[in-house]
Order: sequence, then structure tokens, then C-alpha cells
Amino acid sequence: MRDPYLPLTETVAYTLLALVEPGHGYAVMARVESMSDGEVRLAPGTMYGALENLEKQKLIARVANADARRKVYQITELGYRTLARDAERMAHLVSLFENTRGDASARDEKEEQR
Amino acid sequence: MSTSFKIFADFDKEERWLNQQVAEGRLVSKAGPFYRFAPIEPGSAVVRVDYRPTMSAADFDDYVALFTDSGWRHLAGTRTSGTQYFAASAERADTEIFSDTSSRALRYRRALGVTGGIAALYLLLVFVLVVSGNGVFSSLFTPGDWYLTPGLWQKEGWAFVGAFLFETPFVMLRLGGPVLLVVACGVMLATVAHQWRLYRRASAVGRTA
Repeated sequence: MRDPYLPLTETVAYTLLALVEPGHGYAVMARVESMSDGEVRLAPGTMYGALENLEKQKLIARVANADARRKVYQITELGYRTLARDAERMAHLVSLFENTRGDASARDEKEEQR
Repeated sequence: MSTSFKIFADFDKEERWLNQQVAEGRLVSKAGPFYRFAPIEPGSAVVRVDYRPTMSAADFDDYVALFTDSGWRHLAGTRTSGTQYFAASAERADTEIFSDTSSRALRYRRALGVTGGIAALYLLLVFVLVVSGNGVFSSLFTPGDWYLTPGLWQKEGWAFVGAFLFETPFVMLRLGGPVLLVVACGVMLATVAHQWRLYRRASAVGRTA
């Protein structure tokens, strides 16, 4: 059976990537923004729900921290394996796309010759 | 300082109303249904509404801290109040508390869980009272049994009016409780149906956009 977690949404994929290092909610938001070159900006309501959900799915787990007001999370083994499988899935898509680009340029050449 | 009485089941409508208040110089400072407002420079803030069922004290701290870190001020709502109110300065570029449609729609599903639970409780109560053979409930639907005075409906003229008016307060006392319960049950079920439609509509926006 295929992995029920895949494909990851953009929010989830970036959140898991950001939590390879431990961090609290706002740190994740800031890391995601910089990792995506400002393309993905998570809002706090979405971030809170995503963290809650990922913790429930055991893809991330809480780690101890000194700041009592903010919960700190880190990716779990399961989370990392899931992220890796999604990366493989995307790499496969990218390689398929690269092939079509080759086909497309071959087609263009043929059109020019005509 | 001013107060308004208002009830909303639709968070988007509530947001629109609260932002209309901001345009008129009133910023919400206490949650509904009796909203309280504090004066503010008209149009200088954006108010957003979230819904979270009862949180633990630690979860609530973490929740409010995340919004505060992101530049939102928590205006109203307690950890058990469900609805939470936040404001950002109107000049900010991103004045949304949700960055995707599905998380925005999930607000309604969380609220649905709570109203659904209350509706189920009322339904259970009505069911138990009906099944327990308490005559009050069956007589709700047979108006002929409301008045217990022997021979009331055979009386004529002032004798009837007098007896009828005399007993009416007792009828209300006897049936008022069950009637209120049935009405409350109906209101909760209607709210559940309304929020379900709102949830479906809010999630559908994401799929077509």
C-alpha cells in the first residue's frame, strides 16, 4: 500500500524540513519563509493547526525547553522517513519532467526544419 | 467603552462586523454575545477570529505566544471561550491568520464538534424524558391535554374565561421547561446544520480557486 501521508502539502513538507532542528512555532514560520525565498509565508492559525496535527500523527514530537510559554518540536524518525519518501517522489516527477523537456526541444527542432 | 449584543455562527460574518466596528473607531475588547469595545483610531487595525475548543493552560499560552510572535495582539477570548480575537495593525502586509483555505475552513469543523456535542446532549435529554413516560412530553403535542381543570371545555361564557385564565399560568409553569428544552434542541440542531454548510462552502473555495 502507498504511504497514506503522501503527497505532503507544501505547509507540511516545509514544516517537517524546518524541524530537522528543534524549534517553536514562530521559528518554524521564519525558517520556512527563508527556505522558500519568501514564497511560502505561513500564518499563525495555519501553523498552530499544522503543528498540532503533525504531533498527533507522530511525525514531530515535543522536546524539552526552558521557555515554558512556547512548545518546542523536532521531527521524529517516522517524520524523517516520510519526508525522504516524498523527496524521492518529487525527484521522480522532476526526472520525468526533464525527459519531456528533451522531447519538447526535439519536437521544436523538427518544426523548424519543416 | 460601549457594549453590543450580537450572536454569530459564521466567523466570516463576525469578522466583517468587527472590522466594520473598527472603521467606526471601536475595537473589540470582550467576547460576545455581549461584545465590549474600546475606542481606537478608525480603520487602524484588522480583526481576525479563530475558534479553538477548550485548551489546557499550557496549550493556551503556547497558542497566544505564537500569534504574539507573529505580530498579532490577542484582544479577547479565554482558554475555554472557543472564539479567539486577534488584531494586527492595518499597515501590515499579511493581515490573515490563515495562509491556506483548508486551515481556514477547519475553524468551522472545530466549532461543529462542540455544537454537535451540545445538540447530542439535548437530544438525549429529550429522548430520555419522552421514553421515561413522563406525561408532560406527550401532552406537548396534544393541546387538548394542556388544561387539567375537569370540564373546562364544557364551561361557557365568563365561567370559561375565568377558569381558562386562572389555569393558564399553571400550564405555562408545567410546560415551559419542556418547551424551552425542545426549542433549545431545535436551535442547536439548526446551528449544527448551518455550520456544516459553512464548513463545506469554506472547503470548496479551496478546491475551485
